[in-house]
Amino acid sequence: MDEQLVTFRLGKEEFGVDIMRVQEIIKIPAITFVPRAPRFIDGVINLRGNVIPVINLKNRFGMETTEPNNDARIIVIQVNGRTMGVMVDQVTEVIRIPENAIEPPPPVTIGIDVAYLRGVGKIEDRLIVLLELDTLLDKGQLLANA
Amino acid sequence: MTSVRAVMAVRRLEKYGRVLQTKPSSEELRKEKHTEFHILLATDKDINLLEKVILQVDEIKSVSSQLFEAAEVPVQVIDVAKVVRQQSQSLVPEFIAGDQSSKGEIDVSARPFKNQTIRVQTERLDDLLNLVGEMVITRTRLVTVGSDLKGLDSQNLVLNSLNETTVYLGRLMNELQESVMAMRMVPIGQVFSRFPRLIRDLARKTGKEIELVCYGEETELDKTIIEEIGNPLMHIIRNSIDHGLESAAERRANGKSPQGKITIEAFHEGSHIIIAVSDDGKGIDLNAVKQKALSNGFINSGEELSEKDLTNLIFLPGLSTATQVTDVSGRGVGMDAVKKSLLNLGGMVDIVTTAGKGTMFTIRLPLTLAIIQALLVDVATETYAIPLASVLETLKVQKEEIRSVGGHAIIQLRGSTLPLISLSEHLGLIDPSQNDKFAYVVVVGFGEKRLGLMVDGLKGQQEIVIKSLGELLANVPGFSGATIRGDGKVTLILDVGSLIHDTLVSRN
Repeated sequence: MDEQLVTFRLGKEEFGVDIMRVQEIIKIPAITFVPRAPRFIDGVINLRGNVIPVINLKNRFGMETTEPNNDARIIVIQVNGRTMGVMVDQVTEVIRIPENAIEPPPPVTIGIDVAYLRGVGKIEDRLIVLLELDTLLDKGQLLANA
Repeated sequence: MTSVRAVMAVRRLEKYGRVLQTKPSSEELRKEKHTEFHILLATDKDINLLEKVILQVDEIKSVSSQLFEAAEVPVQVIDVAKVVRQQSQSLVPEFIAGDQSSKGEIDVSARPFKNQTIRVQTERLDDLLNLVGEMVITRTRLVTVGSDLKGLDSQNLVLNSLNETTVYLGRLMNELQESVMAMRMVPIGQVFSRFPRLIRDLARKTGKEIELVCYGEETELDKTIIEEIGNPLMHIIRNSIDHGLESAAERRANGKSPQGKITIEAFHEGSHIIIAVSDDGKGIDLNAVKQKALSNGFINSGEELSEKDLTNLIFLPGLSTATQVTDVSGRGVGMDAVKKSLLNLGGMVDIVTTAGKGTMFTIRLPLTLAIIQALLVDVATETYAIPLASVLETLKVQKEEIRSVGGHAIIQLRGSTLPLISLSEHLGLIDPSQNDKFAYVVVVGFGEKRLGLMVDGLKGQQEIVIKSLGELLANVPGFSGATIRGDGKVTLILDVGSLIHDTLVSRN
């Protein structure tokens, strides 16, 4: 079974999420800052009449944050019935990856808790970190780490 | 006689024959009370049996009947049951005359009226409303594009027709929005319909004679409010019956009719609905309230309290003048809970009481929770919305008027001190403009508490559609929701209650 992924960049790392979880990819609209919200929440945006939070994964993973540039996008994702946006530096591509190319996450990773990783996909010389969205964007997990 | 009894009588007769007509019509019977009514029935049953059937219905005092031969009119036998409390002249001849003129046609209104409705999940309606809102925003963009193009080429006829079309589209959008909103509206009669039973039960329990009168059942309000309003109303009614109404003997001694009366009335007033619950009982004993409040330490003996202040004391938790706790009321928690749940709905409650004459509770609620009037304010680079219901006034104050007491900002407002907070400081926003001459202050109130919010500018009043911030941000202090403005940007709605609470708690 092949898996289809949407891959994106955060800083220098490349990440991938299951395409079935991605509702859409949008350019960055006006983001309303929410004072006193957890710091990994950049704010809220208007997605066709719905107010959805925007998660800053770089902040979440303790990576250096930068101002979004022209390539930056928001990937709108469904997690446990909730819709949220994930801010990324660049959406790279949609790829198919054979299941046997996915390896379990190494015990020592790039500073990200193993519970948030599904594995590492290897395509030629690229390494794509596959995210476990259900735990990563789970409300309890998010708020506990705020 | 209550309307339901008349309908019951008709229903019962339907088992014995065909009800051809009723006077008043079955619709009217359902809606209003009547002291008498007539039924035209085609039947082959015995008259005496039918009379007995009708008399079995509660509240029907007497029946009289008249036979018509089948030959006279195109039906077999006609029995007119006339149910009276006060005898009046028979309407039968008219009945027959009317029937003959419309030979063979049988009044369909006598049959139960079927409502043509569909049950829809409220979520679907919300989705629809969202989409409509989006379309409104898209239309504004279209208008901007149109006027931009017009700037380039003002002579173009195609452009003119584009602009005309967008204007027409706007009108359609407004109508669409209104009809979607109307779908969420439900008549308040749904809530009222529970009360006759409640009253009957309470009448039995307390041994009092009670009559319930409801007006304005057709007044509509948002479904979410309908769901929430039942319990507070029920509580007020219980209180009115238990504390307000006297026993039949006491009433007679005071020259009142032995039957106590509870009146519930609902009507629209602007964008609000008013629900008034009144009783004709003995009124609130303000002296007893005062004594109780004194002994509980809610007020000091030196305090001068107006009648209104005293009345409002009954909303305090733990205050009950009832000497005896019954299973109906008297524990001193009720009115406090009532006020709280009404405040949560964005409503207000007011009491007017006259000794010996009765008490009236007036509840004022917004028509819908989804759309509110809000005051938009500028704070640093952001814009926030403050629900207008909690805004008492706005002021422009000179900075030197603001004083500091123990490190907390206050101002003197008409002789009393008003605690003040700077919203940009409170929310941790960096204010680039720093106007040092004057500040705008929005005075907000929640219950009895007041607070002044210092803002950088007032943007005006607007109708806003409330959206939830979602689970992730539900616990962020200071905000109760968000709204989407005409330009598509999200604006946060300040939670006045939590702002006041935070400030006053930290200052104490």
